[in-house]
Amino acid sequence: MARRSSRKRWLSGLRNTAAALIGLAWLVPLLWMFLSSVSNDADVYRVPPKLWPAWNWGNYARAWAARPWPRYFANTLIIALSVVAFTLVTSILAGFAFALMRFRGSKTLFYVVMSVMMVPQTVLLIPNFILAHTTGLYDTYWIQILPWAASVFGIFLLRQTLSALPTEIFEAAELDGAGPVSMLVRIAAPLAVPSLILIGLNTFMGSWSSFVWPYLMTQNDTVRPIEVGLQAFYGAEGTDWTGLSAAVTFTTLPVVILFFSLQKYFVQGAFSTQGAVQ
Amino acid sequence: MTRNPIRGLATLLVAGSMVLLSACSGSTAGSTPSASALPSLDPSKQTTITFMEAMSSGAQQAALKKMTADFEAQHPNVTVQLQEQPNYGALQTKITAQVAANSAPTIAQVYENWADELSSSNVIVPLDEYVASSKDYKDFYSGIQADMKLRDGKNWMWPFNKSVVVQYYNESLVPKAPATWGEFAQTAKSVSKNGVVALSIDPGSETSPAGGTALFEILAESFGTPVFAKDGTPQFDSDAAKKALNYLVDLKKSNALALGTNYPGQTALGNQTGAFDVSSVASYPFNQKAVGGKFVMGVAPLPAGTAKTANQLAGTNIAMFSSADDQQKAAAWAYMQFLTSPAEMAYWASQTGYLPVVKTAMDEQAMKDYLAKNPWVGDVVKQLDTATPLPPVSYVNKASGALSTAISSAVNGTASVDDALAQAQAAGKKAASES
Repeated sequence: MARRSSRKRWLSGLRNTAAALIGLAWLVPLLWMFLSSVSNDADVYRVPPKLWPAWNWGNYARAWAARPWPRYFANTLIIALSVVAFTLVTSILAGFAFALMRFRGSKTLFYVVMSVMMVPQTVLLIPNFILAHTTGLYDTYWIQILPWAASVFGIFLLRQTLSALPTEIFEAAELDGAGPVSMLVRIAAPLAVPSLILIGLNTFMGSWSSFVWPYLMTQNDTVRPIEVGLQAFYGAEGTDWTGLSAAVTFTTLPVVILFFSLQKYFVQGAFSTQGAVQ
Repeated sequence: MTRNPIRGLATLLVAGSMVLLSACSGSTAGSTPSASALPSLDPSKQTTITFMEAMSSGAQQAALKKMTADFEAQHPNVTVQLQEQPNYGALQTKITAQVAANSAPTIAQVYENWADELSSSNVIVPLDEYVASSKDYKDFYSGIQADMKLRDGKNWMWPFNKSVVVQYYNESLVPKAPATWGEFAQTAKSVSKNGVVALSIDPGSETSPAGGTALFEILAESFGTPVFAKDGTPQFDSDAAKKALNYLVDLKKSNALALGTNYPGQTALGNQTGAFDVSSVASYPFNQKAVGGKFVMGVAPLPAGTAKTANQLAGTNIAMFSSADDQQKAAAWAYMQFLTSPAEMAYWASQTGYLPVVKTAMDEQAMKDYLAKNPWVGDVVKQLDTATPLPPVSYVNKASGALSTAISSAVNGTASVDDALAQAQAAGKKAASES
């Protein structure tokens, strides 16, 4: 018995050590980025980096002056929060309909929606660009929000989550006179909160870090997000690594803070949907 | 040539959108200027032109902004909107998309092979009439003059940021720059010890050939046969090409060559694990930063080969889009000439490291001051008379991509030199036949 308990403790210690090491390994790129951001230009090429850099905070001042970051921050927030709001609404509506409402062609329609996942977005860029111009949406917030207002992943996840709920709940609600909207708002949505948080976080981070779409669909700093602004440090003949590292540090910080403050929900969401997906 | 994250994407998009470009050509071809008269700038009219460019960071951005502001001050009725793109791959994507959407800029930076595609779709205008009216054209270096033309012999481009390849070296390891490629190999092998690998290059990838491929192309020409014939036909399996690839393989076997990505030569030179960086003259400010005074960085023209001293003319030109109206074309032409005027070119070169395209820029005080600090520029700039660009054919990137793959596989030992080049030749010919 004592031997088994000791073995358990040993295994648990090993597991925790391995987890801590993997966690630290994930921190290395962030640490490297920070060290580069306060290094001199010549030191940034050292491998491994100097653990006690030159503390050149001037890189931050230079990076901050290079682009209108407050504008970019505001733009990115407006775009990301709008995309999240739209995605959550469209995902829960479509997920609810596909999971719980019976209508003709629902399965076919669901597979059609899923098939969108298979289309590489790259091949649609030029037609989409022409469409953006034709509709007058080019170089606006809307062109960065509307195309992402529905998420196939979100619809799929909520359909699976809601399908896994006992049907008796909804049958009982129906007997009590609840209509589809009432069932959606009062039963389905509250029970799907972890999934909604997962979708929201995924969507937010995806929107925050998207580059190709906003780069192609915008021209002016007044509507451009952070990721496009970061390109300012890549030149045609080389890269300003210290400036880029400083800019990436102060632009990544909000997302890191958001992730750590909401990581409980993130993990919860991932685990709660695991069974549903299976 | 530089590597960037979306160049491959750009290649894909460009290939896919050629149909759209062709579709656009019908509506724009008619606005090509007639032989009789060039559009003239009406000083009483306010005109806005757009210049789509990739000079979006550091000294290049600052210099272009200042030159543009100076031009606007001289032409108060003209506004130049700089449409910055983060890199050349992004620039190509954006030009393609905007042309397809019938919203092309007035002018844009273009590589020769892009101009070939754009001219065949009639979305850019030939510049022969404009060139004939230029007072500075006769003073352009002859390599620059040749580079303005496409295969049809017409001038389609106006020069802007041009460069050639040079050798940067750590003077504490290499006291004197090698004069021949033979000497270069000897020196590289002798200094490759104690953690130093003399040269690091990035061949790029199938869709995005980079500086390492340019080096191979220069070597092949130095050894007797350029990788592309004058008409653009790939000749990747020539004896000279085999000699060039064997040269790189031999360096690798002697631990004097490493393959990497993202300016590996600059990185290795900067952190003192490399002795050389073979890259564009425009990398000078970036290399200086990387070295940061840790040692004296020498700069010299490329070594001579067994057949000749070859170099590749790099950088972009400016093309004018046919969708612009006459006022915009006149304003754009005034701006283009302003950029290449001796005083502006001297300023541009001294700020960015690019070479002045007009010989008379060397007489400007800004250039004299720059030369006093960087005497090597005097030798390098002469190569603008002899350096040749890659042929202006639409498939050149794809064909060079096949060479990138050949270099990687031969240097890494996964294919023999002969097999790697035979495969590249087949891929290059296929790309040419499909264009």
